[in-house]
Amino acid sequence: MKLKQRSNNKRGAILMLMTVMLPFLLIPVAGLAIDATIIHIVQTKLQAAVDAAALGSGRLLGTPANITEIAGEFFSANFTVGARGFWGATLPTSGGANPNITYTTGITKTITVNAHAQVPTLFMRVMGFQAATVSAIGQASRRDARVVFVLDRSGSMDLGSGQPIGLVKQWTQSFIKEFTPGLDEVGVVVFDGTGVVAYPSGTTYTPTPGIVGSPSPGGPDTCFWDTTQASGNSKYGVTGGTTCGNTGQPDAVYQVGQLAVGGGTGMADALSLAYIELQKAHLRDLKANGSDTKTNAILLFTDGVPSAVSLYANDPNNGGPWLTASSGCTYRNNNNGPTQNPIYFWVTAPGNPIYSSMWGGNLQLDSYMVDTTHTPAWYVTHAMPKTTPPPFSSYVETAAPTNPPETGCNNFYATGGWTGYWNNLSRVPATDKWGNSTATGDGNGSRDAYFINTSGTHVVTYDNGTTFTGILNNPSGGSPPGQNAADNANQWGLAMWNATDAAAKNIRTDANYTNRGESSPMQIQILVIGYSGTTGTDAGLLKRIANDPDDTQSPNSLPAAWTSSSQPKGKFCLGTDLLTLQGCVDIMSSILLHLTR
Amino acid sequence: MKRSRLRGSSYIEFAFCVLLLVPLLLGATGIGMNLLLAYQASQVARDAGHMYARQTNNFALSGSQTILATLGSGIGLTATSGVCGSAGAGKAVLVFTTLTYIDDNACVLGGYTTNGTTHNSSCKNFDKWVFCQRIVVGDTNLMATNYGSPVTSGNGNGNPLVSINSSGNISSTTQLTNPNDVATFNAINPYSSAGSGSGLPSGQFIYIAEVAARGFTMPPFQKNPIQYAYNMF
Repeated sequence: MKLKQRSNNKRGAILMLMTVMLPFLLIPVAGLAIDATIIHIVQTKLQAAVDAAALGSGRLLGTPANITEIAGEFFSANFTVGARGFWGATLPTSGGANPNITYTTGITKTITVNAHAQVPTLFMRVMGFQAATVSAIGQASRRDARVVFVLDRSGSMDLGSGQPIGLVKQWTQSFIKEFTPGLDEVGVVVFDGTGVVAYPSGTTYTPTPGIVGSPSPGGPDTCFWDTTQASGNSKYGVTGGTTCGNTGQPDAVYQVGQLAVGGGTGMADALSLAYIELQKAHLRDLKANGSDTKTNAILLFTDGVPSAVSLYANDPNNGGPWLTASSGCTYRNNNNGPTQNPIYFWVTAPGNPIYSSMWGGNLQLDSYMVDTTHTPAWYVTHAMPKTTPPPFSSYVETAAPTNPPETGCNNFYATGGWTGYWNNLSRVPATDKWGNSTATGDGNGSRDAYFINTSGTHVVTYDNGTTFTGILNNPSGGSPPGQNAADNANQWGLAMWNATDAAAKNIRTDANYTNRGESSPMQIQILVIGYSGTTGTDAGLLKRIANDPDDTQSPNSLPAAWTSSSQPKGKFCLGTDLLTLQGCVDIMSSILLHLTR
Repeated sequence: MKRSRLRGSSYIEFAFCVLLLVPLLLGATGIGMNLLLAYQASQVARDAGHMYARQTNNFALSGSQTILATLGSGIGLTATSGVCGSAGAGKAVLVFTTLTYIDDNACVLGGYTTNGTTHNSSCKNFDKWVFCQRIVVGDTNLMATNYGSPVTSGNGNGNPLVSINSSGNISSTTQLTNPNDVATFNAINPYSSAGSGSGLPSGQFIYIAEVAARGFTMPPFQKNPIQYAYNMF
């Protein structure tokens, strides 16, 4: 009887158990999982939205744009509420602005986006939880920048169509305007066969950066754009020009707009000038503030390969002077004061990478030969070759200067033609005018070139041990002849390549920091845009200059040894046509102006 | 006899419970799978969009698409060659779009000016957002983007068809002059007040990453669900 009773009692127990478990356990557990997942997804969406708001508006940090408004719009675009929103999530404003956007100005400009959302629950409301709140925070910041634009204005930049120099000028002007006058610092160096500091421009140029406590005048400054000028080509320094000491001089935007085109590609000279300019501004900050908080960068734009080098024939250092005894030029003697009377000249060897011919000249070291007539502004509007009009003789000295007299140097000054330059040299100088090695490049034992033709196609790679470097493997002569063959155009071509490679390394390692009296180097980032659309370019060298190890970007088959992991990494971008070139400008803009995290 | 009857009633009770539990289990599984997919799609849109906006990768390259495929393996994203995706490839699609605003400066840069400072009538896309780049990775059948597409086929409505090159780029001439390249904002334009005194510099871009993934199908509860996520930077 008892057994029967128990059995009857058991009947329906499972059903009852389930009836009880379903609403109180199973559905709540399943509901909890679903609600928790939904809440987590909304939190993810919210985080993505604040990130997007910070990153999207972060691109505009330092510009006149209304940063907080733009950040709010980006947030709204990424996190919708209402019918199109995420599971009915709302943005409650009872506790204040939501999203709460804070824009902090100063040396480091920061945008902070803080938001919280209320997510209605589906199942948990049965248990009394009507909604859950999730929050997210996103931040982007940018430090004030110090950038020297290094612009190629060699002859190939305009092969008759006015491009790509036309677009480069306009893009650079637009780019410069993205920096903030009064906060960021901008400088401009332009180069053909040799370089000149186009901004800030003055009638004098100091070729050394100075030392801690005593910086040389010049360097990138905050007065680079006169925002009071309505047109793109504003002419005079901004109101703060007085502060910068360049009132009445053309501003950077104007200078870029004035660029004339012609001549070779003296990349090493231009990079060295940019390095000196950066150091001047760095020292200026150290003197004024005791620290330099700006990002230091060089942006190089070129459409070719190095085809010119600037030299110091009677340099008493680095194994010089390089003049032959038979030259008759007595200024090769240290006692004659070569450092006071340096013989500067340049050699150009075109036809890259087969350097088949060459020419040279003097009084065309733009940065050095500045006087009241040949000001930096004048050089900007007068590129090589300066044949017609005005007469070539106006720019290239065809006889030895008379003050001071450089006795016996007439041959050197090419009275008999270009050959005077190299026939009076004992060899290709071991360094260029700035001390960059013409023999070893950056000294890592490899000289690596990766030539891209005008169609954007890779045509040849030169790596260690192949023809490109083999010529230099016999520096004392023989076959191939090595650097003793000062009349060999190919040697000059290689010297130009090496000097550029070495200049870039000197910049990345801040080779001059101990000479300035500092105990640690500056961090200088080099960004490079190469354009292959006119004559082709050496993407390998340019990627080395930038020290860009990114193998996902073209050229993407370079050995890792071509870059250095211990030196500041930069960015190289190859433009094969005008549109991809514009893309490169965008990338560099993103790096320099959108340093967001 | 009694035990047998008892056993039978348990079966019946269990059957009733199963009728409730199995749908609950299946429903929870299906919903859970799709919620997980939605979560993963959001993450992919966010991460890929980040990389795209920061220009850290060129997603036209197969190597970069392989990175995306790894990133989106959870949603079934498959690398496809080129920039146009492939119908039926994988279970997801990732669409990258770059839009730019055509203002006076853009027209002047392109040479569409009479006086050097303002646009002329040849700059037909003045004051419009246009496509600069479109890269599609994965299954193109899954979705049409919320931002429209450049007109690349058909009669072009009297205008030239838009050509997208192997990098996904659209020529600057097309951007400036071809109405078939104009973007339509079905979604929200983050620069909606760009023309109302925000002081925007010229040359603004919007980078968009959209993701669609084929969800977990469980008829009759869920049929061909698509999980969609996007981010614009």
